[in-house]
Amino acid sequence: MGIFLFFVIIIGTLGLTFIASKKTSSADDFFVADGKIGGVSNGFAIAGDFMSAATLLGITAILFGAGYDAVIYLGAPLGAFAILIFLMSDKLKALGKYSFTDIICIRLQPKPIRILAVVSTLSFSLMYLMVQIVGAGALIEVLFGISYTWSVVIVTSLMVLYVAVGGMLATTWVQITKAVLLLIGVTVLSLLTLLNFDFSFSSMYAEAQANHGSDGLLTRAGGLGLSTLSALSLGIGLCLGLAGSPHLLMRFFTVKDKASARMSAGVALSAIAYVNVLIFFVIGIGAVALVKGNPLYLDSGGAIIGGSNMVAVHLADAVGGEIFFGIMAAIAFATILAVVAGLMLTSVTALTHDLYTNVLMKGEVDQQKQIRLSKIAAVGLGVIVALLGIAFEKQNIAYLVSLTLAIGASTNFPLLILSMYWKGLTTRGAVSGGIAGLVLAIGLMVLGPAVWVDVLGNDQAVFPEAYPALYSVTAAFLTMVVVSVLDRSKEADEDRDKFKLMSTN
Amino acid sequence: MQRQWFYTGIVLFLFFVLVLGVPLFPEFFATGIFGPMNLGMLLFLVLHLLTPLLAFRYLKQRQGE
Repeated sequence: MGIFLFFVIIIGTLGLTFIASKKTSSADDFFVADGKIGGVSNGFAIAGDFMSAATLLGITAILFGAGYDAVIYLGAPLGAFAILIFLMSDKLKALGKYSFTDIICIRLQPKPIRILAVVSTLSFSLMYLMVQIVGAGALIEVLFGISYTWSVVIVTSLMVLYVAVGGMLATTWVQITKAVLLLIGVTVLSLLTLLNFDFSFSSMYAEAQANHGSDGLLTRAGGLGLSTLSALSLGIGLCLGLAGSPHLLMRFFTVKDKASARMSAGVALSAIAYVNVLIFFVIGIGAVALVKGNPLYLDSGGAIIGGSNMVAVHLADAVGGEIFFGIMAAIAFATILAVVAGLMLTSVTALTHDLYTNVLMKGEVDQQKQIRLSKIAAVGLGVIVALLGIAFEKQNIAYLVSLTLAIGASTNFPLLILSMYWKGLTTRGAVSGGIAGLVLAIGLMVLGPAVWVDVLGNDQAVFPEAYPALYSVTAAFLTMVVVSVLDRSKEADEDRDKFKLMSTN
Repeated sequence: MQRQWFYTGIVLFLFFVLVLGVPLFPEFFATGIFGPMNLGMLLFLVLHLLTPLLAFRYLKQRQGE
């Protein structure tokens, strides 16, 4: 049944992709669906773009293992969407065209900004794509029993096909379909879980507490063992990183006006808040109560079959049997496909629109060539992502997302928010701060425990903190401000004068 | 202060109280409210209800302008 549903999802989404490809003829169609997506539809697409493998699979796994501390992961999108709705959505829609870089380039010198944004967007998107591929690989491995490596190859091939063939319209349709499926899926999963306890929260929590152990950390803080600085770093990285995520920012260019952009963000926020509440209060707790220690879901070594990222789909099996397991696995798979398609499109846009068309060719590229190059870029990026996915197989996907978001928080977010709201920002300040944030975010990530110890096999991490965002974000903002204030060049005066162009009233 | 900064401030304040509550005030946030719900869980719920409410209030205000 699970296999059948997988094929339904794949064939259905591929069908949408080929229909969309018939409606995609210009670069505007390919990159931003010609700005014709409605506000509510775009809201579901944003929710679909945001709610990744980390949301359903990774955060449930963190709740399963560490309990209450998952509130940091779940609460961060609320902060991010508050920033997007209240502070950014109007300016994004009014000033952007294909990528968030277009907005910054209105007031700062385009060439250095676009090069920086391409490096940052590619670093962010490739890491984020790799995280989704890790989740998808594990999911297919559990469901089909094929090797993880082949699972990664299959998912990557599908991802390339969606983007190369259908562009933004196909990606949007896939994301809306996935968001609706996910909302229905988590609702039914929650109801079936509660039904298992006769709709008694007290019974469910009591059983979960008993399974989780006597430390009480299921509903009390402390499960992740975070210090104050680590917690702050994780919270800042997740919240500002999401607000600076290029694949989410890009979706604000696909609607027709500012009101639709605001409506999009409001709808997305509501859908995300709804799913978060169900995961936190029902699905995560239900998984601890029904999956933890259950021999049906343990391998011969006593570990969860498919790894802890699979507890949400095991819960589906526990409360709904094999058919519902298949449905939830298929929904989780659709979830991943939709996110990877959006991320791939963002990476392709950075390469072809920002780097090739605007920096190398100075805007003189015909639309058909841009689309053709985008398709070639999608194939090349797919190969890189597949290799990364294989290297990071054993990591928790929500944890990997937190590392990835540190890149968005340390480069894109400071660049965007200071461009929009601080007159004093200059090109030199923006580029220096962006480089400082990017180098620190990636450097500390590589030197930290996730890569230095877990991937490279060293005994001890050079940078002991698991979450680098607090340091890299602070460095990025400080460098941007200090360099801009000290910049007395003629170009700096022009940059400051152009701030008036950022007004959208 | 413009209202969009005020609304953003409210949401970010609640979020960072939740974040800092994890390492700094674990016992306080574990204070029971009713049934299995404790203070930390209640704050989480308030954040998830209040943020969409503020967002749609803001959308309504902007539409009226």
